[in-house]
Amino acid sequence: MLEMKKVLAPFRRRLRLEAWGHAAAYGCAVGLAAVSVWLTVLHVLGRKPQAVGCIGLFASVALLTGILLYALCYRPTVKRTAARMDAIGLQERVRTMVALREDDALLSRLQREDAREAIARTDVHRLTLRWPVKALVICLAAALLTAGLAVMPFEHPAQTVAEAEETEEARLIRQMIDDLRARIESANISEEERARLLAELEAAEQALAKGDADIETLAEMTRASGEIVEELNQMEMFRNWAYTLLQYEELAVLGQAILDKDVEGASMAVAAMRADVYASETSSIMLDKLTRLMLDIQEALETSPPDDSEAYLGYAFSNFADEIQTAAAFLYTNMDPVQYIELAFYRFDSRLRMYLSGEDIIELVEEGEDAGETKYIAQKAQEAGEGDGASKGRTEGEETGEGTEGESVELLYSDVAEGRRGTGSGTRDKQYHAEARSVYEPGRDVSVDPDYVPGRVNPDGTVQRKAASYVQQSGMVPYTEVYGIYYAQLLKQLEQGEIPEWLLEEVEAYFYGM
Amino acid sequence: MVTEKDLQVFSSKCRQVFEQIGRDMVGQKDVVENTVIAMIAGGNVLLEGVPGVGKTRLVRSMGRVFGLPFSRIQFTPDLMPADVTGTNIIEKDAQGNSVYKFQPGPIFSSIVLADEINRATPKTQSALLEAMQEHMVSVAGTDYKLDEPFFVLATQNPVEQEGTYPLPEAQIDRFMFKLNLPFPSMADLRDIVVMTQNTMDEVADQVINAQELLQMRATAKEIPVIDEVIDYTMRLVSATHPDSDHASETARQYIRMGASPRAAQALITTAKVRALVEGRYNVSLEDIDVLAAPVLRHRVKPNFEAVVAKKTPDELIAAIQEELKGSRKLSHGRKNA
Repeated sequence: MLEMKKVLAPFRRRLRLEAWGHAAAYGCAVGLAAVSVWLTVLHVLGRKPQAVGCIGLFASVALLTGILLYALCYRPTVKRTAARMDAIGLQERVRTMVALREDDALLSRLQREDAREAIARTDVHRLTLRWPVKALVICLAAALLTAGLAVMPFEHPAQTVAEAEETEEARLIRQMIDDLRARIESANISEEERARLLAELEAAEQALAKGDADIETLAEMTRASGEIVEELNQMEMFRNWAYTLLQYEELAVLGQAILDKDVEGASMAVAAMRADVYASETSSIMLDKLTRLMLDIQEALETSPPDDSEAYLGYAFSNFADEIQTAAAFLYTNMDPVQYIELAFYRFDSRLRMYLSGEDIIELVEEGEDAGETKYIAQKAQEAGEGDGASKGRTEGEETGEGTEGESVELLYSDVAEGRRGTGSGTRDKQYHAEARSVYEPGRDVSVDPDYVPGRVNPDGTVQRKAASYVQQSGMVPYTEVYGIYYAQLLKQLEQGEIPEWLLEEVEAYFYGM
Repeated sequence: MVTEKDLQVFSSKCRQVFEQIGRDMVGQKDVVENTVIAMIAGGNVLLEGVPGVGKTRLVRSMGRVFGLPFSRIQFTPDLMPADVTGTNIIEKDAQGNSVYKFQPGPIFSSIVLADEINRATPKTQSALLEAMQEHMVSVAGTDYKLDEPFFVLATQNPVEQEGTYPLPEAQIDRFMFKLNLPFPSMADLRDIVVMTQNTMDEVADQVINAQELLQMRATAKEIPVIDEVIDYTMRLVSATHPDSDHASETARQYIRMGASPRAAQALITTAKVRALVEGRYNVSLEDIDVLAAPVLRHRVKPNFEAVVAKKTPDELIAAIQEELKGSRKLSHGRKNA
C-alpha cells in the first residue's frame, strides 16, 4: 500500500490543488450565501450591517465549509486518484491495481507491475486540473446577490416613514425651541436665569443639529423643552403675578396688557369683560360668567400671591372679585345687579389705570388707603359726570361719596349699598334679610315681563335694567315655600350632572350652608 | 492457476494467429480481431456482409490457423435438420444384422461454417440451437456431445432476398458476436485483387491446436475485472431495454427489445480476452465500449420508429453509449471513486 501511495503521490499532490480549489470556491459561495442571508435578515429588521461582522461571518463560514468539503468530498483519496488517472488513458489499470493490492496471485502481481509501468510512462501534467467552474459561477452569483443586498438601503419602509415623521417632529421641535428662546429672552426673569435657560436651550438645539436625533432623543428634547417652559412659567409666576392671569381664558388679554404696561389695552380688556357679561342672553348665563370670573381671580390670587410690587394690583383684583361676587349674589336673588356690576368694573378699571399709569400708590397707601381710594373713586366719578352726560358714573360717585367717607375698603361696598339704599329703598340690612327670607318667584309675578333679562342689551343699544325696588312684591314668596322645590331641583341637577364641574362645589356649599 | 508460461503462450499464439490470418485476409482487421477474440472466448460468430467480402474465406482461414476440424454447411431452403445434425442409418453389423447407426452430420466438427444461414427454414436453423449453446446434439433420443472447442461461424447476407428466413431471437442470441464485413476500401480491394491473382486458396498455416486454444480460453478467464467495469457493463445492457428502470432515452424511443443477459456475459468474457490480446492484465471500460457493438447489434431489436427513421442498431448502440458517458465520467470522478 505504501508503495502504491508512493507511485500515486505526484498525481495526488496535483489533485490536492484541484481539491482545495473546489473546496475554497464552494466555501466562498457558501460564505457569501451566509452573508446574503444575514443581510436579508438585516433588511427585514431594518438594521444596518457592520462591515467587520459581514467579513467575519464570510471568513468563518467559508473556512469551515471549505475544510469540511475538502475533508468529506474533495480530498484525493487513493481511489479517487486512481479514477482520475484511469481517465487520462490508463485504462482502469490504476483502479484495478488498487482493487488487487492485497491479491498475491500471478495475474494480480503482473497487473500491478503493468500499472506501475503505465504510470511511470504517464506525465503527471497530463492530469489536467478541473476548474471549479460551477462553484465559481455559484460564487459569482452569490457575490452579486450579496453586493446587491449590501447596496440596497437598509431602512425598512415603515422605518423610513417613521424617520420622515421624525424629521417633521424635529422641525417642530426646532420651531418650538425658537419660540421658547424668544420667550426666554423677553421673560421677566433675572439675567442669570435667562442665561442658564438659553444655555440649556442651545445644548438641546445643538443635539438636534447633529442629525442624530432619533426618536428617543426627540422625546427627551421634547421633555426637556417642556421642563424649561414649566420652569420659565414658574419663574415668571413668582416674578410677576400678572403673568398668572395669562393662564385664564377670561383674564389672558387683561394679563397681557398689564404685563405690557398698556393702560388703554387694560382698559379695553376690562371693557370687553364687562361687555361679555352683559352679552349674556339669560340671567343664569350672566351668573355663570360672573361666578367664573370671580373664581378665576380668586384661584389666581391663591396660585401665585402677588409680591410687594404688585400688592396694589392684587388688591384691585381682590376687590373686583368681591364686588362681582356681590353682583352675582344680587343676580342670584333675582335682584338687579347692574349697578353692582357697573361699580365693580368701574372701580377695577380705575384701579388698574392708577396702577399702570405709575401713580404713587405707596403715597396713597400712606395717606390712607381708604381715603385715597375714596378720593380716587370720587374723582373718577366726577370726571365721568363731567363727561357727555353719562349719569351712571356721577350717580355712583355721589352715592359712594355720600356713604363711604372714612370707612374701610371692605365696608366700602356696604357703604355703597347703603348709600344707594339710603337714597333709594330703605336700609340695606332690613331689605337684605327680607330678601333672604323671601325670593322672587316669576310664576307668581303677574306683571312679569317675559323678555326682561337684567343687563341684556336692547336693539336700540340700551341695557335692560330694573331697580330692585321695582320688583313686584306680588312675585316675592317666602323662601320656606320654595326651599323644598329648590332642594329637590338641586339633587336632581347633582344627579344628572347638569351643573358645571367647576361650579359644583360652590353650589353644594351654598345649599348645604342654608 | 495461470502461469507465466500460459501468459507467454497466449501472447505469442495471438501474435501468430493474426500474422497467419493476415496472409489470407486483406483489411477487415477489426473483424479478424473480433473473430479471434470470440473463438478464444468460446463464442459463436455471425458474419454479415455483401457477397464477396471474404466471409467464407475468413472462416476457412480460421480453420486452418487453429488446426481444427472444419465443416461447411451451405444453408438452403430445402436443407433439413438431419442434414445438419446427422441421422441414424441402417447398417449391417459383423453378424450381418441390420442395425441403426448414427451418422454424424456436419455439425460434428470444431469449426462449423453455416454459410448463408438465413436461407434455411427456421426448423433447420433451430437444429443449431442446442449445438451452439450446449455443444450437444440430440438425435432420436440420444445425446451426442460435440468435441471442444466448438464454434459456429455463420454468414448471412444483409440484403433481403426471396427465400430467406430471418433468424429468430432465440437463435440469434446464441451468437456471441455479429460482425459486419464492410466493403473493402480501394487500397484493400486492390490488394485483394493482386493477392488472388495467383491462387484463390488459403495459405495460412496452423499455429495453434485445440488444446492450446482451450488453455488460452482458461487463461483469459482469470483476467480480473473491477466492479466499476462490471457495473458499467450492466448499465449498458440494461440501458438497451426500453422497459427497464435504467433504460436510455434511445432505447425508450427506438428499441423494441433489448439485449439478453447473454450479452452481458459475452461482453465481460470477450473483454477479458481483448484485454489480454492487448497486453493488459485488466479489463478496461474501453474494452466494453469497443465490444459493445459486436455483442449488442444483433440482440437489440429496433422498433418501427427506428426503421422509419433508418436508425441502424449500431447507431442506436452508439447513442446509448453516448448517453452513458455521463455515468462513465461519474465513474471516473468523485462519487463513484
